[in-house]
Amino acid sequence: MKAFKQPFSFISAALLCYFLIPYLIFLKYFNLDFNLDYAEAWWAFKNSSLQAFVTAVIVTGLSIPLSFGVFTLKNPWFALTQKLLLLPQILPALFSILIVFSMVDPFPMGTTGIIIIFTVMHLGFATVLLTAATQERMGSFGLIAEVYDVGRFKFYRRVYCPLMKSNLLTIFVLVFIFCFASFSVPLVAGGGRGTNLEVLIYEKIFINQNWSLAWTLNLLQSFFIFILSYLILKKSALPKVDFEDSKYMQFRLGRVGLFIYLALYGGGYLMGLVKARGALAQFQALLPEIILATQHTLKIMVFYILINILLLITWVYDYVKSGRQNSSRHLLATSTILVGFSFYLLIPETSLGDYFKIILSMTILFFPPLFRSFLEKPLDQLDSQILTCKIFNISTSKIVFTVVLRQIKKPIFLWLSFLTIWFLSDFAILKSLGVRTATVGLMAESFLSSYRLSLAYLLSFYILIVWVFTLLAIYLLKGVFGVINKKFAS
Amino acid sequence: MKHFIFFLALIFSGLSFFYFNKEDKVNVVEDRTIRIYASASFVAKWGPGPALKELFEKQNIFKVEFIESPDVAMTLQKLNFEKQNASADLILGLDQFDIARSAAKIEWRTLPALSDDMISEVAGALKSQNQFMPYDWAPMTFVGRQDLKVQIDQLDDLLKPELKGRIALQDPRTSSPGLQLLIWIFETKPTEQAIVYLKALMKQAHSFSAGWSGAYGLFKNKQADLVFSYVTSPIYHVVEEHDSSFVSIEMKEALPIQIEFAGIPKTCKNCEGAEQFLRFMASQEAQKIIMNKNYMLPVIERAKEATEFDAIKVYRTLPIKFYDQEKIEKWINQWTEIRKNEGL
Repeated sequence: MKAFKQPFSFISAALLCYFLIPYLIFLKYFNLDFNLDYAEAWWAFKNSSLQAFVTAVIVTGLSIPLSFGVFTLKNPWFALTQKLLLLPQILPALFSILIVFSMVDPFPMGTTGIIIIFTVMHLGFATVLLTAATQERMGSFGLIAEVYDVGRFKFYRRVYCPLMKSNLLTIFVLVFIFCFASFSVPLVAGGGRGTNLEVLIYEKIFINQNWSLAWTLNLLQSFFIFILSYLILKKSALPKVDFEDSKYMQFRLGRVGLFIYLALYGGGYLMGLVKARGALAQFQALLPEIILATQHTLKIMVFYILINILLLITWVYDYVKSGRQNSSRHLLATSTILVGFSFYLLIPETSLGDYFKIILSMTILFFPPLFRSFLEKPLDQLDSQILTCKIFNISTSKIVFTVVLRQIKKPIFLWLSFLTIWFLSDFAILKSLGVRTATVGLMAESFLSSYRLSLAYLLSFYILIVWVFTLLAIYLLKGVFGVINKKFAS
Repeated sequence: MKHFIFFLALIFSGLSFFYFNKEDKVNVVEDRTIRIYASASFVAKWGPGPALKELFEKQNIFKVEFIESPDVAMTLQKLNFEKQNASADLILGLDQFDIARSAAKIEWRTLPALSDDMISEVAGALKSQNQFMPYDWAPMTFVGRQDLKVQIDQLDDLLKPELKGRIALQDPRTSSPGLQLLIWIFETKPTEQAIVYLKALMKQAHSFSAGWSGAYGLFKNKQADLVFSYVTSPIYHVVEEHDSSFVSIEMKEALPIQIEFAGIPKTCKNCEGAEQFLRFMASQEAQKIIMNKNYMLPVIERAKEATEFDAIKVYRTLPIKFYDQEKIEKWINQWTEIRKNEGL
């Protein structure tokens, strides 16, 4: 689309500014302080990089056979397995840590330990990502290769790997970034290498109360990730194709691996739930508060989803008009505590203020990584169609609504399901925002910080149920809107 | 698709209108409202906040509004920024370290003597300052299960080979209890010995969690045999879970104490109400609520009479101290260096 690229777009700048709000707030309130202990910062950087790199290699590698394992399943198991694979992304990090410690005993503390926990936490997510990407990219290549009997390994080497290279690289970078900016796992399992940049940021706040230094460290971390994302995640504009299942895309050993992974993680979680059943009476007694918190959460979530959809439409509009993806897609690991604190400083502590804070911070933190995970590639694949439309002078809004969004319904639904579950289960961001509105995520956190681990387990299960119902509601709404749309159109 | 967007915009603006209107009615802060910043566990239904609010509002003309504080460090930084515009009348949940850190940044009101029967352990905290009122406290020690096979009487016993990798600790860089343990070691041993001891303790530690809840979760999940916590922790399990298998361990060394303080910033808007609330917090009724809901000891002696807390043996404790920032940083740096050199 080079011929149609605009040198400057107001919408692009506005979008970028939106995602840079926390940085702009910090620039206003704090001076940069480069009086760092560079040896300490380098040590932390090396630790973060080593742990993140090894984990990303292992997770990306393992997600390939596991995604082939997913393709051996038929619906409803296919859909259910993908939901179950997301369990480690949904539960608080402490649960994953406890489950892994129970699975691996004695647990190897140190770098090995960190990598094991990270792998367990991100493998499911990577598998879901790769399964979705494979469906988007592989088309009928698997089936054709099978018909021509090219052989499984030749197919992987000559067709699968070259075609999926950019998706695998995306998964690698995303896992790397999630691990790089992690806070609690390196501390718990870290041994001597428990210090990473995120820990240093927190230390500067907690011990030294030096926000300028914390802000400088965060800026360095964000800059590194921005550069990494900019350099590695290049655009790949192969068109989207319809997926045809084939024997080469299925791998029985992958199914076994999938089963072991889910049995160990899910089993560990179920064990925790069974142990927590003693707290069922306490949980019932707190049910009115939990329901109230659910109502608050769902109310905010309606706005949150709408804002995300509006942001997405603006993003797509800008993409079609300017011919390039917005640069804010590289803002993948802004420090939670610094985003939280910037809005905590700026927005008043009222219920309405809470709504603004939550929606702003969650969209800023969740939109870029989830956009990269689910929507960037499908959008890029529509490049040639957008170009054709432009040649025929079709208006931008018509391209957006009738050409682009209609064709990426499935990735949008996947993207929405992640937006909702991250929203429902989050407490770290809400805590750093200092919100007064009770939400289910915050309730789980206050259970954890007041001896009530069993109640936190039960609440996490409740959150899972709420998530499933939310997805059902979104799915139904999508259908209703589809019908309304058709009526209006006719 | 345009219609879809139209519908979305319609719903969004409708909902916004509803909420904007609702806020106008609900969020009118009355002059008599006391705005109190407190932690999530204090404000939660199972925490002392709601019961204190109810009782206080029955006895006084003031209304209480609790505002959840994300983290004391963040709340203090916000106060520092807002200066005269700050809306906080009272801050709860400050510990010894927060007081030392905030002394130079925030101005606090001098408090009159709010109670004359403070117990000796916390009364010491009032000798060196008169701007913060202690409202609960607990000595900190190691908590284990009754079936623990190892005899522990002193810090050195933690280095027994049976406990290798079996103690859940907190990271002093991110957690207040973690910092308490570090200071305890440096306070009870000469510096050289403390460093040697810390090196040995690294091997005994199961892990260093980011906060108290992580370490306690590991201990509850039986990943660790001991956890550094409050002497009052076993009471929670007796009262809420009817489980008396948890014990806090008495040590030969005097134990460090964690005191929670309340302070009124000079920028308070309802200073009279805040002072009234502090007076109320020092009353026997309020102290009982705090004790029962927070699982911490009351600061006035009579409050725990004829309760489970009366059975808690309050072991010998270290006198309360407010440490210089520089000293804390030095100890943290020593800890970090030892941890770093521990290898993989």
